[in-house]
Amino acid sequence: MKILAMAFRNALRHRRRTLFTLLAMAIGLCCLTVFEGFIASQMHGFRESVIRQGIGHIQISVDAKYFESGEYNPYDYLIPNPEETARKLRAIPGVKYVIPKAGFTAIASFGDKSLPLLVDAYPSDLSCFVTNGESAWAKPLVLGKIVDGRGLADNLTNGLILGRTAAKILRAKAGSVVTVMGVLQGGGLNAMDMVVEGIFDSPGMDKNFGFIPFEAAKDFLGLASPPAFVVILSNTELTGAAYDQILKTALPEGGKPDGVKRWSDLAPFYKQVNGMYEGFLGVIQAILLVITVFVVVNTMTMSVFERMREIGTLRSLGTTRAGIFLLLCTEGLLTGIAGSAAGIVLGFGTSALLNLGGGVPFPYQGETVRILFRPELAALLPGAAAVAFCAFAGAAIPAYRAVHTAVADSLRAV
Amino acid sequence: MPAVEIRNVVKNYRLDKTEVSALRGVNLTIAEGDIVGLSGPSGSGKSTMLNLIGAIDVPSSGEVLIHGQDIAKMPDSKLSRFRNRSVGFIFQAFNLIPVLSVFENVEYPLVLQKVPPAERKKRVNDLLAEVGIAEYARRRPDELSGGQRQRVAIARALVTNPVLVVADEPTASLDHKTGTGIMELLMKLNRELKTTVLFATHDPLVTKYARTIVSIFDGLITEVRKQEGVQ
Repeated sequence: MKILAMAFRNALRHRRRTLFTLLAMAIGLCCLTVFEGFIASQMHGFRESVIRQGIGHIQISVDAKYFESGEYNPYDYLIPNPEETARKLRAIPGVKYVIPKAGFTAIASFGDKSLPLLVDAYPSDLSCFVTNGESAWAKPLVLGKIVDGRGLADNLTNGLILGRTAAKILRAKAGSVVTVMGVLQGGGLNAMDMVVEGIFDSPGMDKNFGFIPFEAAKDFLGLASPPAFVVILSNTELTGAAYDQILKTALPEGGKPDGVKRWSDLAPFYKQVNGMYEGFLGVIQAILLVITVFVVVNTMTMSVFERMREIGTLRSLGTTRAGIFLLLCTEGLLTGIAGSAAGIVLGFGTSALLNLGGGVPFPYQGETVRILFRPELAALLPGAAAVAFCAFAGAAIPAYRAVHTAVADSLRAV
Repeated sequence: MPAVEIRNVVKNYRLDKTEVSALRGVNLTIAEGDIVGLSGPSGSGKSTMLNLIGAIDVPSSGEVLIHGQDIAKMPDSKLSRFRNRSVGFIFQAFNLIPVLSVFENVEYPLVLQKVPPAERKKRVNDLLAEVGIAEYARRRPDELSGGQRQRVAIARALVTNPVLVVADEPTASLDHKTGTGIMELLMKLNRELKTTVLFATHDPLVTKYARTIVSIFDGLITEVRKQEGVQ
């Protein structure tokens, strides 16, 4: 029995005191739930944005070195028999798009200005830029936001989309003709006049990045096949399973397993931001746990003080020190479990209410988007368990004192 | 073998920076099945002696033997087990557990002994009937009168068939009539179960129930006297 039943009844004995203890934990955990929901929502959006900005869910190359030096020398990493590899990739469950990708380093010149440029190339029927009037998610890859001019079209074999800062350095505008020079396989140079079709804005990328259509890059470099494929899945959650399947059935001919990378391997910035948010959550959680310990210690100290004679009676009836210790800690644990459960329910309820009201406004790329709260139970359970454990541990301090009071002294307590 | 044997027991307490002697070299032997009344004024050492004999306190020096076992040498876990199996306590303020029903209060020592539920139920119900409170089994202690509570406490003290029942001023919180009823109940149970009963009191009307009266004054036993005519 009886420890659990007694602990439960004891916890309900001073209902107001228990309620305040429980509320302190519940409100703290509610705040944690709402904040976690906000961050989960933001990180979900950020993750999808990172994936769709060109990284994809999975990238396939023949060698891991491609991801370090492929844009300096794409010729060393060309995928042999690309149609066969693409066919195998498309056969994997969840794979929605298999997009060839190329990239190279170039010098861009305009007037008396020159600039080293990293040029990425994707098929223009599978990639787009956000422009006024165009849906942000119209195509599988959304490479940036056009601030001047327009995005790429398939028929523009000499069109270039230039980063805003790069354009500023070159003093180029939409419509300017920029000379792009690149190194060919044999070491020779190729140069081509390209029309700046549009100027894109992307913090961190727009100083030295440019985009051209994949077919234009193939012609410019004389590539027989792409050095990499970008795979877009129907759902990001399928990444792990698809990755495993690619390693089993769809490696390029002669390709190495480490030439296949998941989005999480290729997005260090995402990892940094996620780590920073997890740090925030950790700090809030630590504060919550400290508060829990203090509140429970306070409540249980009062409870033990008031019940000293009762504890002495239980000891005189033969209850061991361990039995009393367990009883008091179980009271703390039950309060902690109830507080955690109430906090999570309250947190999900608050999130739902905030979402019903349209979420909270958040500035993103010059626009205001509304962030919804999407708390994840799995992410919150360790925190809730920690709160319950801290309630148990908080009860242990007064419990330890209680069991180390002599039985006769406990019985003398008023 | 005597039920209780106390040899040269000294018990000192620290009160702030001074040491107070509650018992100063006490010797006493209590025969099995006896009813012993400890009498003396407040602060004479009655409760200290009961605590030592009941194994809820240990002497500063000397030996306290209950059925030959020296409780001063027992580790805490063994003392708990000893209290559960060998000693029944009756307190002045009843000391029932408020979150447990009457039945659960009486059942509790048997739960600690891991007695099977069916046997627990039978023993508890029999004893509640014996002390005359069977109809209150499901009530909580705060729903009972003082006399009823003390009957529950007596049932709880006897449910494990202990060798010794220790009662500290068992009638002090009760009116005279109820107190008499409680003492007569204890006498009856002593006769039927042959349990040794040791109680402390400073009420002369209660000491008449003891076969042996031990008078204590200022930490010393001043007299041990047998009373004739006690059944």
